[in-house]
Amino acid sequence: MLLHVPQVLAADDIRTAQALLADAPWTDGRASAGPQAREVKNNEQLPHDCEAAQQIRALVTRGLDRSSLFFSATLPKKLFTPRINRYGGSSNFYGNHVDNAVRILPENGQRVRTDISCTVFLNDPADYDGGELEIQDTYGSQRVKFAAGDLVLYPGTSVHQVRPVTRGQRLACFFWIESMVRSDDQRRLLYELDMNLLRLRQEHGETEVATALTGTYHNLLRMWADT
Amino acid sequence: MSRHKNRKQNPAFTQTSIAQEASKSIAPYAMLPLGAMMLAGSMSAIAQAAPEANKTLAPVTVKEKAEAPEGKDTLKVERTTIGKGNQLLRDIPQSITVITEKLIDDRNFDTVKDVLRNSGGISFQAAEGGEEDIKLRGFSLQGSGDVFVDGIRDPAFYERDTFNNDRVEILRGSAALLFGRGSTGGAVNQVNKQPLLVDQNEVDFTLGSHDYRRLTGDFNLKTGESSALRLNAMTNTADNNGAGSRINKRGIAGAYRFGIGEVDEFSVGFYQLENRNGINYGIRWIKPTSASPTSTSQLNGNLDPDAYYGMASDYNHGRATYGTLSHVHRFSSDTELKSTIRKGRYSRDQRATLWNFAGAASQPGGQAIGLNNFGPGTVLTRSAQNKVQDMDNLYGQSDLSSKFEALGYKHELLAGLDYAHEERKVYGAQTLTTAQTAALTRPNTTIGTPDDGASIPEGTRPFGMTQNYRSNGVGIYAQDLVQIAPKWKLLGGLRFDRMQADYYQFNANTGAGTSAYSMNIAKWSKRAGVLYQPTDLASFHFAYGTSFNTSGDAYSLGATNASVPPEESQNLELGTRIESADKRFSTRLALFRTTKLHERNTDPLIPIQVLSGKRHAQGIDLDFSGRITPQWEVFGSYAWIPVARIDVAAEGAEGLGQRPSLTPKYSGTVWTTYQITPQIRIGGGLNFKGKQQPNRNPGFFSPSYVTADLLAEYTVIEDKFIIKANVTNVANKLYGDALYTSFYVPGAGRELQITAKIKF
Repeated sequence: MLLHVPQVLAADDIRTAQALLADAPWTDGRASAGPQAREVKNNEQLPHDCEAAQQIRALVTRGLDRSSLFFSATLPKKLFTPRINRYGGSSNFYGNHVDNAVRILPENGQRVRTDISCTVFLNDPADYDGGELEIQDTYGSQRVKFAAGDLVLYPGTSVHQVRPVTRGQRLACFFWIESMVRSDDQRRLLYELDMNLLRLRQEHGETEVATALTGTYHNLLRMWADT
Repeated sequence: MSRHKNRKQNPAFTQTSIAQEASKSIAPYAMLPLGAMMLAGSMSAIAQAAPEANKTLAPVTVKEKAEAPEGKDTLKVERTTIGKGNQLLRDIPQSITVITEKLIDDRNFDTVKDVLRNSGGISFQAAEGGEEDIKLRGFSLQGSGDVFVDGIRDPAFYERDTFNNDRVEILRGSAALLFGRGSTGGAVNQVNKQPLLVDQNEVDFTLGSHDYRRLTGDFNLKTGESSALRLNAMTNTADNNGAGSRINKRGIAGAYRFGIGEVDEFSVGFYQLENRNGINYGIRWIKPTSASPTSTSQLNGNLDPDAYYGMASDYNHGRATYGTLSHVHRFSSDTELKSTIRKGRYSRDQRATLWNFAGAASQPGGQAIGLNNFGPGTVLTRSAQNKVQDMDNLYGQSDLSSKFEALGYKHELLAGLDYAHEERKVYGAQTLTTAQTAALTRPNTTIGTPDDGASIPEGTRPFGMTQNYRSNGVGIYAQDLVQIAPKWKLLGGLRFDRMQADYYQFNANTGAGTSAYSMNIAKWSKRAGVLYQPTDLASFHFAYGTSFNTSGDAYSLGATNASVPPEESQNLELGTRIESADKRFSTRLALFRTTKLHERNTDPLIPIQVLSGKRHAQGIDLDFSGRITPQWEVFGSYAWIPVARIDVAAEGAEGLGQRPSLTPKYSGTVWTTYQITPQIRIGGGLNFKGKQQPNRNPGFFSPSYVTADLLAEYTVIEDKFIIKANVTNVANKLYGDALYTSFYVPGAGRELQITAKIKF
């Protein structure tokens, strides 16, 4: 499931983030990649413990806290520390790859299964050419780029790439989520049920049907979730 | 209805719409989705969750599994280190064939010679010294030290094994800019396996015809966040390699790499290969009758390729040992400096038999031998062909690669310097006493008694040093690839080499010096090219490069060649590399013309060598590799050289106007595999080569041939246990593999090999 969640970051947050990134200590993105990913990865990344990275991470996690859609769609259990990268100039692409299935949090060595990949766009598509996130899903290939502050969710299992940026710079924050519901299909059903229930509740109030279906949602979640 | 249709066609888009609609309808403080109501809270708290108390989790292997895997996993690669630095193949304006470990494994290539045999444009000379002289486009490779390991010259003669190879790269055409002297026909680079940040191990055991047994182990251990250890080991024995040489060898290679992917990366490696093989020095060409002219000479179809008429005491012992230290410093994402030091010692001790048909008087019926009276009773005489030599080399090189923008253009700069110290000692047999001569004389044998077990104490033959060659060379080069327009790149490069060599000759019996020569070289090499890359799938190039061969290429000098300036060569190439839309399949095609100007020749009037010769080879070579469908994989390499000519020649050498020897018009290979079910994979391939003359163009040809290979593989446990069977040369075709004027070494006959592959 590819999902666009708009406006996770407020305009103020985006301005703050961009200011922080303007003179951030960028390093070669390949430094964090294994020898095989190095072959296709060509971007720049912020050291994960630098001041700018920490502040932007805080902005993003606060943004996520505000996003009910994000919670409904991901049903998060664990989050892998968000990172920030930049594509542009001669470091302008990240070829087709599949993310590590499991990542280890540098803070505490805890393992995070990367069920869902997330990208939060930190600048507008007007600022650069190219740089589409291309995701090969079961439905075929999708190319997306969204407004600054928007977020895109896609399955960690998919082969994806960031296409070369041919003008300007693409700034983004990216991270992974281990969901309580491991299966992408089950998570998607729960999300659709949740969204339609929401509409039902908004249009007709908390009817008996809505309450019963809410029970169904919770029972499905109980059946599938691993907390 | 239209909405429904839309949903079917583009569900992801519809998802987005739902989300947008939903988010629009969620007013501040309005209802929340159930998932959010339940979970709304601090993401940072989730991010900082405490370590789990549950310690019973299965071990987790963390792999960066990207689309550019190691040679184990693919037939097709996109990058190479052959051009120094680490470059996209599409950015190198020159023909490069890459044979990966997967192909090496699929086809059971256990020697580098096997690997090369399966590439277009390669041929082999069965040289006088028993050395495997490799020709590429008809130009000598190994004789000029154009074999490399990890981009570092590896000029010693030994039977190279593939056990530690991730891939073998063949670069065609002049490339002195990158490698310095040599490389008229091109260069062969063996890329050693690197420690990787994964835990993976593999053990392969192969049993085959002629009691073939080969055991290899490849162990990679991740020792830390950015460090890893890799160990490869091999042992291999057989009564016969299918072409008359027994095999007995073992090798070990280890490397430890730390700081992988970090600012400073180090690696320390060790390699040792020991061969205690036998040797089939060669089989005589045979004429239809002893009275027929030499030009009617042909392969002997009445002899099985595995028939051996040497002595049981013959041997071909070699040992290659080297240690390597390397360091990469990454100044930024765009600039890195790689420095490597390698010290190597190589020894070769060959005691071989060259047999000949005994004279008419000794043959049954008193007739000289031709194919008409050849039979089990034919008597063979055996003579010694010994070669003992050692090499001791030290190499150091530093290569800087950088990308930057200057004067409004994007540049990719490659620059470096290298140092080489090479020392070669050759030993010759000392004069024997009468008693020694009696003991060391090889007895006659007959065709009816191959492998007769006759033995002499060959190891007791006394040797003394006869030649000592020492050289010091330095080279400095720079190359810039400039993006002059969005789709166009220009390449220009220059290299300067300085080399000083001393050569001494000694009397093998007394050790007294007999003569000394020295050589001084200072030489520029050039490279220029233009690349047109209309899309990221297609790249076209036109390029020009030069190279030079010194008199010291074969590590020997003499009165006739010590002061002769280097031979010069140039290569013109028009080529393209095109990838399929999914980049799983790529093809390469090049039109080339390689010219050797000022070839060394012996002037018949004055007994010294002069630079008067000229020859050229012109043709097309092409490769294709990759997956056509997820199940169907192919690899092919083909060279067509319709035009090859000796333009200026001296008498006594290969004649004026002739096609150079060992330059077949066409040669190549195709290989394909198909995964029928998740368990079963089958494969097959062909190797073919046009007719070719042995060295010195004696006027007869080794005929063209095609051989076929088959593979069947069964996966017993996915990614754990695989069994496969290979049949090579299915039709047991007789062909001349390595050729010399008076003899040839046949290609191996039919062989069956069964391999068990265990991964853990």
